[in-house]
Amino acid sequence: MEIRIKAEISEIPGACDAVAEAAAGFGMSMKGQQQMAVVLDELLSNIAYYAYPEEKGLVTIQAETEGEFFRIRVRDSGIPFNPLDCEEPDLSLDSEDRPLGGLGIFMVKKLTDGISYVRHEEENILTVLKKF
Amino acid sequence: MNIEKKTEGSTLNIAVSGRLDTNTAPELEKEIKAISAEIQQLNLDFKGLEYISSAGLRVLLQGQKLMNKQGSMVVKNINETIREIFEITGFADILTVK
Repeated sequence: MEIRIKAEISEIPGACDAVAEAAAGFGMSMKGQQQMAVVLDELLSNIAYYAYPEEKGLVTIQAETEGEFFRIRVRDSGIPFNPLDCEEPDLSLDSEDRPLGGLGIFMVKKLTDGISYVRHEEENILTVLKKF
Repeated sequence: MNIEKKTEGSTLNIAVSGRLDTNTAPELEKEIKAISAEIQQLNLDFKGLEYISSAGLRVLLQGQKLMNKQGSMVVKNINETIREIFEITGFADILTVK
């Protein structure tokens, strides 16, 4: 499955649906499908907010199988950004001291079984793997 | 996402169904910000909620911070996907989940 969308918040739900549907087609559990939708929401919202500071560009989303894994690959041609460099949140803080943001990429890491980033030919390419 | 609100005295019940994600979280944020000072109990019913992303967690934390000042907040009827997300993010410890 491959789709291309504009890097805008309003485009995200349709892409999440398409990836969840692809995951279902490969036999992934309902929970796995929902987790993949969350993962994609995190990745695409980052791109929609930060990748294109001026005119919104495009994002390509591929969903395939790779051996025992379901694989999502997200490509954008925005500013170079490696989300794996993000700081880990402090989960020990209570609700008063917790900052409001900073959980997105952490959740992606926790909900998947592998994640990698490369900058290649002016593109950010993020790949996540999830065991079936 | 669909939001249903019901106020009973100083208790506000909000039922949220569908998905609480980047696209829909601002709608719930509006409801949280509109909570009056008289409300002492906020119940969030997630019976019809499929999943929640970090944008949704952000709004839940806003709600918890508000209700820390004026009463308490309870989250009810979460599914397995949401329970796991609460656990991996530590929200299981900072929210009251029933």
